[in-house]
Formats: sequence, structure tokens, C-alpha cells
Amino acid sequence: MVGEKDTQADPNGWTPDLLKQRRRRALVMALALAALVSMFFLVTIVRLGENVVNRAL
Amino acid sequence: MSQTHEMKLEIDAKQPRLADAGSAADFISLMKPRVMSLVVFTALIGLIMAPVSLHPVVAVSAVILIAIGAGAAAALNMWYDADIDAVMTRTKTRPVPAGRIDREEALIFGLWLSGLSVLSMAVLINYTSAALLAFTIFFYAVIYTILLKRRTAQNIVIGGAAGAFPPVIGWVAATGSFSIEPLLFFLIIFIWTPPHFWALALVKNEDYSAANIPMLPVTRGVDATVRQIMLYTVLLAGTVMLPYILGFAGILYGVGASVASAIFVGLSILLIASSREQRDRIASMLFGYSIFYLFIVFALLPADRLMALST
Repeated sequence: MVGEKDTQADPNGWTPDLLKQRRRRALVMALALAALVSMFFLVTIVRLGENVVNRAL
Repeated sequence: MSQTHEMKLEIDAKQPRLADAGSAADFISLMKPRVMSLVVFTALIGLIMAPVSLHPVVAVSAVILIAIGAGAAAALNMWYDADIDAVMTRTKTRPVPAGRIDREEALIFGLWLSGLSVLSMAVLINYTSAALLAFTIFFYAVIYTILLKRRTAQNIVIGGAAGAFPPVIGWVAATGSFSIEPLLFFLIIFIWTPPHFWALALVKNEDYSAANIPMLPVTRGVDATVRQIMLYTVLLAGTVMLPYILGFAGILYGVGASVASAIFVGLSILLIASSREQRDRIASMLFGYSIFYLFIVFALLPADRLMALST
């Protein structure tokens, strides 16, 4: 019920629904960042691997 | 400052902005995932068809970054077009006009993604593909969305170039340089775009009129538009044969693309011959088929390569 949720809102106006939405958004953002970091790590390893193999001895 | 105004500012500061109501799904839809899927597909074909094979990890990263770049351009488009999106039935439920994400947030999201995709492309793949990705985002967001879309009936003809770049970026990501093959991919999508969008514009003519967007059916009328669709599909039928004629693709591609083009041209003839009552239905069919057509033409390229390798 909208009315009940409104009464549970904190002084800053965040209703439980909005807070839940924000937590979910933060989680997706964290996962996206983790994926990006993994991508950078993996590509670096791949490129480094090539260079290690091809380095002048 | 009056006391009332101060009080209002204080209340506003305590209220979460409407934009805070935007869910992760809203942000994903800001990136136009359906358009993105076609971008990813054509970029992937550009990568696969390149004569240099990339490590799978690098190749997947390149495609992801191209997709993020496409999403960035889409977010910037939704930021600028929020006013006309709110008028059109097809777009009024998008996150910005629906009020789930505010314009400023869409702009910041688009700019961040643009920077992220281009810089990552430069660091992880190569500078040429990064420059091309940056130019594509700029072309879609600035040249098409801001400069052309509301000014000329040729908006989609010139603006179509933005959608034609992904396979070129895919190719350049693999090779680091240009050649004739990716330019053919570019040409195919470039000529495919007007009939694809004009078919949609025929169905959504009232929407575009209400939003005051000078799409061809709005400025030149329905009859002129169906003639242009026919003209472009014939031109497209010739263009898709270029990879075969120039020896870049084999018989499987040649036959497959011919059949697919014949159906496309057939549908455009049907559109010209259709009565006013049938026109929307056939235009809608043509729009749907155009998506399938592009998918088939691009899928035939690696299929043909695979067949040539196995014989």
C-alpha cells in the first residue's frame, strides 16, 4: 500500500521501495565494475603473455 | 531570498530526486539494448571476417566495448530527444520521458560510458578502433541527433552512417587498419538504413508528425516515401552483391544474399502496389523483414567462409 510505505519513509524521503531499488542498482553497478576490472586484468594477462613469449633473449 | 523560497529549497533538498527512482533495468533500457544487439552482431562479423585473428579474450572485450559505446550514444540520444520522445507513442515509455531517469542523469550516464568505452578501447585494443568508436558516438549523438534529426528529411540517410560503423570498428579492432572489405560492410548498412527507418516512419507517421520530426512521410508524403523505399532496396540488392562480385565472399553468400534481396525488393513492390488500408500492415512487415535481412546477409559472410574452409 502506498500510504503505508509513505509512513515508513525516512526523514530524507527514502521509502523502503526506493531504498531497495537503490541497493539493487548499486549491486548491478558493483558487478559491472567487477566485470570491467576482470576484463582489464584478462586482456593484460593475454597481452603480457604474448610479449613474454616474444621478448628478445 | 524570501523565507518561503528558503523553506522550499530545504524541502527539495530532503526529497530524493525523481531520478533516484530509476532502476538498473531503466539504465539498461537507456542503452537501447535491441539496437545494441544488432551493433554487437555486425561488429562481431567485422571481427570474424578480418584476416587477423584476435585472442578470444581480446575479441570479446572489443565487442563489449563497442556495445558500451553504442549504449553511450543511445543514452545521449535519449537525453537530447526526451521532449520529442514524450510526444511519440512508441517512445513515451522510455525512462527519461516517463520520468524514471532525469535528463541530466541520462547525459552524465552517456558521457561516462562514452569516455569509458573509448579510453578502454584505446588501452586494450588499439588507437584506431578507439578513434573510430569516438567518432561513431559523436556522429550519432551530435551529427544525427542534434543537427540532422529535427532539421532535414535526409536525417536518416546521412545519420545512417553511425549505425554502419560497428563492423568497421570490429575489423579495425582486429587488424588496426582499413581496407575495402569493411567499407563494403559499411556501405551495406548505410544503404539498408533508409528503407528500414522509412518503413517504420510510415507506420508511425502520426507520431512523427506530432513530434514535428521531418521524416520523409511527413515532409514528402507516403507515395514519395514508398518510391524511395523501393529505390533504396534495389540499390541495396546491388550493394550486397559487391562482396561476391569482388571475390570477397563465395557462392553461398551470393545465392543467399540474392534470395534475401529478392524478397526485400518484392516486399517494397508490394508496398507500392498496396492500398491505403493495407499499407501499414505491409510497411510493418517490411520493417520486420529488414532486420531479418541484415542479420541474414551478415550471417552469410562467416557461413560462406566456413564452407570455403571445409571444402
